[in-house]
This record gives sequence, C-alpha cells and structure tokens, in this order.
Amino acid sequence: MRNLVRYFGLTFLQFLGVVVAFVVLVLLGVRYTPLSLFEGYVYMMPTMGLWLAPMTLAGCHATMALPTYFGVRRRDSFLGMQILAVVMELCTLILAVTATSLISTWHTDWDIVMIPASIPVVLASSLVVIELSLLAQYLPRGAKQRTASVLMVFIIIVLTSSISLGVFKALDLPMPFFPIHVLRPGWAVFTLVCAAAAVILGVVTWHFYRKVVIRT
Amino acid sequence: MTTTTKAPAPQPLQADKLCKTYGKQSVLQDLDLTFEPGCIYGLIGRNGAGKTTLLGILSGQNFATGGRALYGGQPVWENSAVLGNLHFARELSAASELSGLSVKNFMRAGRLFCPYWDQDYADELIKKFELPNKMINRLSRGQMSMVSITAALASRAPVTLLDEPTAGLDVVVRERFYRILLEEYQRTGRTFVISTHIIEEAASVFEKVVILDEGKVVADQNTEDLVAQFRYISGPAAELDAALAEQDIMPLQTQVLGGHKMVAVRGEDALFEKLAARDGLTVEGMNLQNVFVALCGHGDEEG
Amino acid sequence: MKGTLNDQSLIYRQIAQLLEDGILRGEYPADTQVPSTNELARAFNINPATAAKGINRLVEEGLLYKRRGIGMFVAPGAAEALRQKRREDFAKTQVRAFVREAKRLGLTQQELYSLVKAQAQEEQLP
Repeated sequence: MRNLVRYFGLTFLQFLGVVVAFVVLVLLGVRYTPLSLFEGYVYMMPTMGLWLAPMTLAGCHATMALPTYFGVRRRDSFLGMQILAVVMELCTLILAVTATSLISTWHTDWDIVMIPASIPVVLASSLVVIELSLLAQYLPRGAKQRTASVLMVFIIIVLTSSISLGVFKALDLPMPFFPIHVLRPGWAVFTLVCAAAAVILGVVTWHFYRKVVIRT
Repeated sequence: MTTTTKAPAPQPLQADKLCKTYGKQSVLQDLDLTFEPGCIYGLIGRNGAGKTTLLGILSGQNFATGGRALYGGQPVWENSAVLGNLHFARELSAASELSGLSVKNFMRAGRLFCPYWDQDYADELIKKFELPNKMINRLSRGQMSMVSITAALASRAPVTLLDEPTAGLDVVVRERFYRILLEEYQRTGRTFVISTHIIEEAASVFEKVVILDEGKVVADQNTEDLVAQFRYISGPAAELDAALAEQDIMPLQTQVLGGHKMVAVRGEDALFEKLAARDGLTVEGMNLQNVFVALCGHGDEEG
Repeated sequence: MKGTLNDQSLIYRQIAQLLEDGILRGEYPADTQVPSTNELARAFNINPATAAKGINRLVEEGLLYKRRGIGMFVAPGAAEALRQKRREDFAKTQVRAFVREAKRLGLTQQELYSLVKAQAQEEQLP
C-alpha cells in the first residue's frame, strides 16, 4: 500500500537522520580532532547494525498501532514493518562500511574496517535481534518481560564486545574471527543459522501480531 | 482544497452470533444485532456490559472468539475492502498505546489511511475545538476526547462507532458535540453508533437505541417506541398490588415509602389506560434513563 | 439548545404539540408552511427522524399536508379540527384529574361548580 510506504517513510527518514548525523559527527571528530573519544565510537560502527535499528524499533509500537487504528489490515502493516526494518538495517550497514573505509584511508593503521562482504552476516544477525525486539512488544505480559530482559542482556553484550575490540587492538592480540566475510565457512553457517532464526522469530511474531488489539 | 473521495452510502453492520471470551470470562454470548444504515444509534449499558468489546469487534479492531462481524454481508476481520468504511473512535487516555503520538501525527495517519478523509473538515474541527498540537498524553481528558471525535468525523466513514465520546467534556462542549454530530448526519446520512453513560442528555439525538446487559441485547428499537412502553405507576400499596395482580403484571422496579408504592412497568397503551382509570393510581411516563435503570438495574428494591 | 423540550414526555409528541399550539394560536394559518424537519432538528438539537415523526403524526391526523419539494403546510380547517380534538382530550384527562383532586380535597359537587363558575367569570368566558 502506497500510503504505508509514506507513513513508514517518515519513521525511516527520522531514523536515517539520526544515524547519518552520528556517523558524520564521528567522521568529523576522527578527521579533525586527535580525541580518542571518537576512536571508541569508531569501534562501535561495525556493530551498531546490531543494536541501533532494533532499539529504535523496540519503542515503535505506537507507530505500528496507528495504521491498525485507522483500518489498515494487520497483514499489510506487519509486512510494512518488516520491510522498514530491513531497509533501516541495510542503510545502517552501508553507512558503517562507508564510514570505516573512509577512516582507514585517513588512518592507515586502523584495520577495524567493515568490508562489504560482512553485510550479509551482520544483516542476518541483526534481523534476529530485530525480530526479537518486535516480538517482545506483542507477547503477553509475562513473556514480554522475559524477552525484553533477554534483549537487554544481548545488547549489553554487543556493546561491551565492541569496546573489547578496542582492548584487543590496544593489546595487539590476534583476532581469529576477523575479517567477517560471508564466504568464510564459519561465518556462512552463522549467517544461515541467523537467517533461519530470524524467519522463525518473524513467523512467531506474526502469530501474535495477527490478532493484536490496541490497548487504550 | 484537498481532494476528497466521496464516501459511499452506509450498509448494514451486523453481529452474527458473536461470542467473545477473555480466558474464562464470557463477555459477549451469541449476540445477534444489526445496525441499519443511515441511523444514529445509542448503545447503552452498564460498565462491563460489553459495549466497547462489541464495537471493537464490529470494526475489526478486535476479533471474535465465536461468530462473525459482517458489513454489507462481508466479513469485517482483516478485510481491506470493508475496513475503510468503518471507523472506531475509542476513548483515548494517558495510558493508551497511542498516547505517545502528537495530535498532528495522529491526524496525518488518518489522512493517509482513511479513504474518505476530509482534511478541510478536520482543520475546521481542530480550530473549533481549539486543539493544540501536543502529545496526546499531555492533553486534558476533554481534549483527548475531542481528538478522537475529530478523527471520527473527518474520516467520513460511512459507519462510525464512537465509544464514550463525551468523556471529560463539560456540558457546553457536549452540546456543541451533539450539534456538530447532527449537522454532519444531516449532511451525509452516515451511520453513527454512540456508546455513552450520559443517557438522558443524548437520548434526543438517538433515533434508535440498543441496550446491552451482561453481553446480551436487551433492547433494540426506535428510542421513543421503547420509552413509550414504560410507565411509573404509583399509589397506595394495597391498591397498586391489587391492580398489578388483576392485570397480571410483574413490575421491573419497586420503591416503597410507608404505605405508598411506586413501580416501573412495561406494557401497552391499553394497559396503561386501564391503570390510569383507577382513581387511586397515578400513571407517569419514563425517560430513556429511567427505562435503562429499570431494565438493567435488575429489580433493585429500595425503601 | 434543547430549549422548551423536556424529558417528561416523548420528544416527537412534544414536537407535534408545539406545531399544534402554533396552529391553534394562529401562528400558522391555513395553507402556510410550518418549519421543516431539518429546521426543527437544528433548532432543538434532536435527531431529524424524531422531528419527522412528530410532523408525520400531524399529517396522519390530517392537520398538515405535503407539497412535494417545498415542505409541510397547514391543512385548511386544521385549527378547528385541533380545537375539537383538544376538547375531547381536555374532558378525558384534565377534567378527570381536576375532579379527582377535588375529590381528594373533599369538595362537594356544588362547591366544585361554584369554584369553576367564579374562575370562569374572572377569565371572562362568554
């Protein structure tokens, strides 16, 4: 439905604005200041795909509820929601790739670069998180709390892992998982497993969403 | 001037053996009801009678656990051909899932998704109600009602359901609302179904009334035809009891004051003529609110 | 505003009564137009169907007739017909209530008649 695109388009543009602003700020900071503050943010970039979009979507149920309130089919708004999530995620990842490669051209010693081949891997894993954060909103109360806590724990892990990347670098420790390339067998399997998990979670979310009633 | 697609004529909205249970609790049981097109209906019932649930299911906002909701013979649930013809305006509150939105975004969504949305009318109503562009949860209760009403009217949906639209509105604004509603009705002939607790004030606006009691339909007819079937009969207790026994009537409500008794009775004009003919008895009419209490108060005895 | 409408009797009857009073008072002479359904609905903030019911009551009783596309008009002889109807109603309801009240007060027939006569003379009944 064209109107759903226009509706979600606003949410998307707002999100994009925030991400672009963040990336531009970090880039400018890295380029023009010697502040190591921005270094920390750079380490976040490869992994920001894992939490930026999910966290934004986690608070979106008012945005999701409104089309239903005005008579849009749940099937249509669910699909729109999924497409929005994928597009948001892709944009985040493309920005991450662009930004990190830009930085590596300025500071050749930095190799925390996100290569394009990492995109499918991070996309698949981020979709798991996204579906989980969407699911959390439509579960009945008890399960909702538990899922939300799982999500919180996960996000904390991701954030700390990006900080620990910096620690690894500083201590010059070898990093066996890098580069994250979708065609490396380990990562390929991981990608497929995540994709499957995302699909399953998506189906489960649909099961709860298809009969959702707006709480007023 | 924004272009508006002209809304089609309303069609019947029907509850077909509708059942709704929440866990073990049955809110609606085998409910059969049809809202005829082009009428203003009042939907009245006590708290918990199932009004909001019924309206929610009929508009596709909630799902039935049994039976179906039909619009023009077509199922309502998840049916995009039908959903554009229905609008359910709910009571918004600070606890509502929608309360984090601004008035502007709320109306914008209405314009995007309601096929017959009239933006000029929406602007006119926003001005008339003096609605600020704030977050919904920062509005007063009355203003929240007005947001809900504005969206309902501007949607120009052929069948519009309103759940307690006058909650939080003072009496002056309530009269304004009835006036605006009647103007829109005279202009478009839309079907309106309004659930309310403020019965007597709104009674003159309702052509028909549906009374819901514990998930069942207790009355469904022209308002004045319904009210005409009820009377208060009062007089000395002995005489009253004798008269009732003679006509074989069961009173719906009884009030005793010393040797004097008053009862609420349902029947035909002929019966009331006979009762009025008796010297000691006084026969008086009831209004819709009285009728409602008589039917749904479950024979509370006082005195 | 609801104005002169009350909740003591059915609204469509009050509308009918309103128009009847107007006819009796000479506000609406024969063959003049009475307010339309929509005008009445707007004036009293009521459902037009209710206003229409009141008007139709008078049409059924032959007091009003319809001119297509224009509106409702007072039938010739309506005022007289109304007077007659009201007389019958008067006898049935008001006189009965009046006499019953007198009975409750313990008045004799004679006392009742003299009260009525005194009042009639005061009002200058012919």
